[in-house]
Amino acid sequence: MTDAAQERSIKLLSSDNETFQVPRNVIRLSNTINTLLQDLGLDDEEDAGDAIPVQNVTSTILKKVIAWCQHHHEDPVAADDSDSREKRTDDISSWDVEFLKVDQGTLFELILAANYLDIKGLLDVSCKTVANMIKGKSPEEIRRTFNIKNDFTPEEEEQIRKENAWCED
Amino acid sequence: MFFTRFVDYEQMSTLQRKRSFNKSTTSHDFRKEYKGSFLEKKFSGRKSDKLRSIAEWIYTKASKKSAVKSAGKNEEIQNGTSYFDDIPNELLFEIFSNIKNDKSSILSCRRVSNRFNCFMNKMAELETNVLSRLVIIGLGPKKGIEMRWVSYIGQKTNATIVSWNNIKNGLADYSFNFKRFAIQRIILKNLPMTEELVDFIRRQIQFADLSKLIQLSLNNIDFSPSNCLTLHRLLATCGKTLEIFEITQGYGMRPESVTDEHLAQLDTNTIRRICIDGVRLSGSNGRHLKIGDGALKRFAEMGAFPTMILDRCAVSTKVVCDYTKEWFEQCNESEKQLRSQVCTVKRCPKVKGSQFEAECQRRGLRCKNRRGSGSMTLYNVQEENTKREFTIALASLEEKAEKLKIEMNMQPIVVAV
Repeated sequence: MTDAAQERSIKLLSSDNETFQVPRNVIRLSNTINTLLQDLGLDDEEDAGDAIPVQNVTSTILKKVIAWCQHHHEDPVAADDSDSREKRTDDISSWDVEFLKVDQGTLFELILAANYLDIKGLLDVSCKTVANMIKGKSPEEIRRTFNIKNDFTPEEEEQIRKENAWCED
Repeated sequence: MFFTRFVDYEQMSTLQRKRSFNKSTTSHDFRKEYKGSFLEKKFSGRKSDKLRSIAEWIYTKASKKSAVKSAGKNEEIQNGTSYFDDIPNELLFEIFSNIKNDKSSILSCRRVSNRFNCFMNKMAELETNVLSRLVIIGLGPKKGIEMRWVSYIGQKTNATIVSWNNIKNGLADYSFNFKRFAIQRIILKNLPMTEELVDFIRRQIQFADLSKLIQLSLNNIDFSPSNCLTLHRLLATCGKTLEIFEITQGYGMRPESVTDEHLAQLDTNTIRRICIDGVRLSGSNGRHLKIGDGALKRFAEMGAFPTMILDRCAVSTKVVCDYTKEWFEQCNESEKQLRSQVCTVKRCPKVKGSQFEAECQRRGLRCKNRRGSGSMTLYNVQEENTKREFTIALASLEEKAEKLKIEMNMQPIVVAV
């Protein structure tokens, strides 16, 4: 890829038909878009061409996603971490913590968008944020936080309570 | 299931039938018969249940869609829907993989909802709990059973109580616990040997690591509700690695409660002790268990000589002598076999003291007797032309008033080279 190609911008079209101009080397963080551009040979074209439709992502969320990519596109490529390694949830950078101080709906939509666009870093950090919202809470607190319905029968609930109690040392 | 059939039935009435059946059959209207019958009463409740659940399902679908539309703009979460509902399983997996090692989060999440519980049951990575003992004790016919795990290393123990009702209806599922157990000994006490109980135990321990299981002890077990397959099924799950197998103070036993076939489920390479003691047979079901010469012959053939205590068994004098002789031969082969070896044969009607002496002599084994404790007589058996000595304790015939209770003890003990 030439420098010119790096600097050219790509047009993205959100699900509610808003167009965004993104530098090529910023959007490369999205594996989905990156692969698409490479496989279709669009990198060699001089003209920016048509906007790429991102069907599943609204303009609000796409704006956030691009902002995240903008901030992170110069990060060194993370070493391929294996899943067997114990994951930490306290290693979120302060910028990301601020960035993810959003309402729950936005946070979950960011997870879905990061998954759709295959942006590993954003997916990791947003999943960790949700995990941190679960950590240290009682079952009732978790249910209240996420508005989750308790769909257990009293018998099932009692059985799980007993199993949990039997786990304790 | 019933609902779909119900729909088909409705459609069927509007379809034009081919006249492939004779009139008498086609004119028979099952709907008329169904009306007011007990079947209708039985299923009428279910039908409405199904309809209601489908209505609810449609309602939640609809309300979820509206929630999605308003998401992002509207902070307020609609009643009964969570953003988690829109998260597919693979992403929930991503989220939970951050807390799969955190015990308190795992335990909390298990109690949130069915979906969370399912994930945690599959994903949780907790340390294996090495159980020195798993003790299952009956608490009587009303209360149920107590399951207690004991860990010697951590000096920890914890118990839970399971009601008989939950054992019977299959609700008691402790797979979450058992998946993290590596069990060394299983001890069953004061329990009735029922199919349901054995099923329950099998269902639970299949999740545990049984590769280090060395002992299975059944103490004060009521065998009256069992047949020969009950114990067989228990041993099938956990018999292969056992070093110690004990059945003590069993009652309500029948000849087929414990048999040669059960002992054949044990691995001759690992077993070190077999103890069938304090056998109480139920009333008219015969005088001894069907443990006979088969088991002893098999062990002798395999060169395995576990310590044995056989009470009320069908072994015969001849095979006990063969077993003793085999033991001598193994002795010659390897020095390390010269450990203290005890084989006690109690109250076995086919073994008699005088015959034992005669059999020993016939095999070139000299035996002298001397008095032991109680009704027991000790025999010193020596192989001719060697210094090896084999001491046997053998109870003299103790005839009681009833002829059925011929009691008889025999105990060969190896003392020295």
